[in-house]
Amino acid sequence: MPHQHNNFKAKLLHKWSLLTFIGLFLMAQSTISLTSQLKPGVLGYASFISTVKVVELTNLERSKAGLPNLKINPELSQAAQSKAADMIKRGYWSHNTPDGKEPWIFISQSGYSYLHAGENLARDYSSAESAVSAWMNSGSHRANMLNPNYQDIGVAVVEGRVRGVETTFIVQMFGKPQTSKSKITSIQTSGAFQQVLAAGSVNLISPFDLSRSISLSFLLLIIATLTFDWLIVWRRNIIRLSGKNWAHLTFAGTLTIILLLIKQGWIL
Amino acid sequence: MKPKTKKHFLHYSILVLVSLLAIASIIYFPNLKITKSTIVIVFALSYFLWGIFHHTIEKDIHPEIVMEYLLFSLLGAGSVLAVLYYL
Repeated sequence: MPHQHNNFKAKLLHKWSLLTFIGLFLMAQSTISLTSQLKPGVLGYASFISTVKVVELTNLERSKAGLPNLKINPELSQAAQSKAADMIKRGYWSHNTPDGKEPWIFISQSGYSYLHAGENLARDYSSAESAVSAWMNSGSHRANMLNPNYQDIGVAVVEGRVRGVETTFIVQMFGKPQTSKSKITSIQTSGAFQQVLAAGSVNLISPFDLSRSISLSFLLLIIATLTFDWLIVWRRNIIRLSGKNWAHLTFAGTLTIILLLIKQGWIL
Repeated sequence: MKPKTKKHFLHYSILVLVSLLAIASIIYFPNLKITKSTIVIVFALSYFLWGIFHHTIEKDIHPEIVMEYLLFSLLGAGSVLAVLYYL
């Protein structure tokens, strides 16, 4: 509470208190990072993503756009699986491999001869719905999903550890075979269908959620202190040399909104 | 409106506008981690500079106030950047 002994300013808003805040904040965030490194498998992104669901939702979007459904192709599914496994094994996150190879190499290696091909990537989404929604909200990914040239699809949902954190990769491969007579029949119990992962069966704590909770707690504590401090100063008509509480509140409030807007998951 | 109130209104309007711009940019670039980080850093820097200019114009600038805005900017930017790291 602001009074003469603390220079008419809430103690939590003093320079040393703010420095202590920063120190505590760094310690808390470092603990998350260190836990990821020293205790791999404790933190991670739990997901209940099934490849079938990803295909279903993709076809639903295509139906809405008046396009024919894509058929699950085991070779494309194998290509997606290989791509995901390669990203985890070599620790990268991009369409091209670290040695510059394009994603189409995985399609060719799987034995699928394509006339047209495409790839969508996503990671750390907690559900198939959120991943497909993120793709649909991105122009280039949406164009892939709604491309009338494609006839086949292969999806892989693969888990792995990246920087000690359990991560879920989703790889979506699209294609149109070179010959209209594809040697692959659509629904086969292989590849994609066997990869229905339920990583959620392992109770992982999402480092993203944990980090966001810590940040939100700090910001909300500051907002509460600023509001309380402003109320006392206003009621007692105190004149003091200080930063403007309303400005700090606007700043902290904006960052709180930004934190709430940031969504888990990443597409490429 | 008194000249001082008018000046305050203008200053706070700029701050609110910058804040809204930051929120709109975050919504507009939903999947670009580097862009989001840049937006947060620019926003925190803008806030720090806003504080300096505002108090300079108000003629009550003091090293303690500069430090206060600096610490708020650092803590604010850090709180969001730490979360963005895990995206």
